[in-house]
Amino acid sequence: MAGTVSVARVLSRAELGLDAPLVQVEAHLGAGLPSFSIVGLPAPVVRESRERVRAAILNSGFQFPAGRITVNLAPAELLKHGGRFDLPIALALLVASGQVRAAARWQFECYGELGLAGELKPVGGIFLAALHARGAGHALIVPQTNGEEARLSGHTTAYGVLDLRAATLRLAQSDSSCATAGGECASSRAREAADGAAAPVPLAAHTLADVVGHWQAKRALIIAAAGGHSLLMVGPPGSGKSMLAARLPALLPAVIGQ
Amino acid sequence: MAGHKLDARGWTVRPFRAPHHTASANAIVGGGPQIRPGEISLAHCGVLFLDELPEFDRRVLESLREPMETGLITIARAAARIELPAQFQFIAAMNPCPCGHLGDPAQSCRCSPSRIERYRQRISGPLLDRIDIRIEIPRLAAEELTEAISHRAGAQLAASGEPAAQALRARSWRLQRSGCLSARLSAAQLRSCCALPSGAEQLLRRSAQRLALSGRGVHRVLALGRTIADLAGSETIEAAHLAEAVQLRRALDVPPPSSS
Repeated sequence: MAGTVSVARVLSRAELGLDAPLVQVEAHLGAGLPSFSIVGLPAPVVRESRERVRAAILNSGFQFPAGRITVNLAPAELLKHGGRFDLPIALALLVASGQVRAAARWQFECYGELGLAGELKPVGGIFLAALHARGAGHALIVPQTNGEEARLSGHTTAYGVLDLRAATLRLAQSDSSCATAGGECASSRAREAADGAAAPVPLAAHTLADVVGHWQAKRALIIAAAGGHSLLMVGPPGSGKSMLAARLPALLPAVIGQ
Repeated sequence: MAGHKLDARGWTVRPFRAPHHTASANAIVGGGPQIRPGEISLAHCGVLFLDELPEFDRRVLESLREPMETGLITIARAAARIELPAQFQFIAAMNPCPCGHLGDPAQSCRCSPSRIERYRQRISGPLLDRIDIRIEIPRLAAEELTEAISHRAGAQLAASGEPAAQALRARSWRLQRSGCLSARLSAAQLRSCCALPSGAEQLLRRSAQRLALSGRGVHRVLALGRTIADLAGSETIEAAHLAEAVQLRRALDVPPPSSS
């Protein structure tokens, strides 16, 4: 097929504690009997990607490449977990088979679990990945639902998309304008998210006002809140220990910044 | 910040994690094949509340000592060694004895002294020593409950947000002066910011002797005294502040062999 590349590469990241090491998702289409293998220490859920990716590609109106398909998740010795690699694997296959061209301008990191119909499902750990992506100067393609999470990290070129088709359109775009179908424009959403974040909806907080009596315990809670002290309460069942403990967060200031 | 699902609305609210005592060690401390953060890391910058403290696995409780000291937890595996943040405020609750009624005016205790002893020993001395405030929560008598309900002034005070404002003022003050909260002051910092007037010094010395306080115990009393002084708006830690600090640690104290 015209326009095929020998090896297509799409970027993503793995999770390792607080680190999100870069993963290069490589796809190679070779001659031979049709097969589809994923190497690079994929966990069982990542090995199952093959079925999801195949169905998603076909149901998104693309052709599933014939021949011997090898997908490599580099680096080889890092264990790869989670459903997040479905999207980069699918995109790598589409680029390798010449059905999608990646715009040269942006380096994209892609994440997302694919449903059989091609829709993108949210995955965990996107905030951490976005933080690292921002540091590396890469743009992001994530499931729509993860978009807010990505932008919370301060990332300004994060695109939330609904399905595989929209992801391919975003990948092919050489500028940061809104995609015509499916995709979302990152910059206006980022403004919205910033306004929303300025006034977060406060979760219901239990306060000391709810507690009757227990003056000594209240004093102890205030001291604990003021100095960050640990606290142990000893008392008979039903004396109100759990209730008092739940009142501590309301005495603490909100978290700011990092 | 660490971990899995993120609720954007709850972004600035401090986490309050209250794992059940049947939670696995991996769930609480962190780990597992993917090295996921545990409850202690999810409680970073927030509160970790352990209800029914003696019911928790002993090894889990012991593994809390390091993060309580350093604010970090190191999870080692053959393939990797990960350090995760775990700076949480430790809050716990327990009954005084297995049946729960030791010292309860409403019901008498059914436990034998050895049973009580075994129950209390489930919390090791070193862990107990690291807990700054240890107080008894008495059962409120019926009259106290109804009297307190009609005590409007107290309810209004609490409702006005005054306690939170008080705590916040003291916190900000200490953060400005020392760069961290009193509970996290190092021994060196305590020495420099907590020069004691002679009356306070004497009280500390006497209490340390009478209660057989360990070095860490004295350190914790000083840190508490610093907070109490901050709440009172006082630069120096007075004897009264230290006296209150000592009182705050009394629950579960084993009286020293030669009590005065």
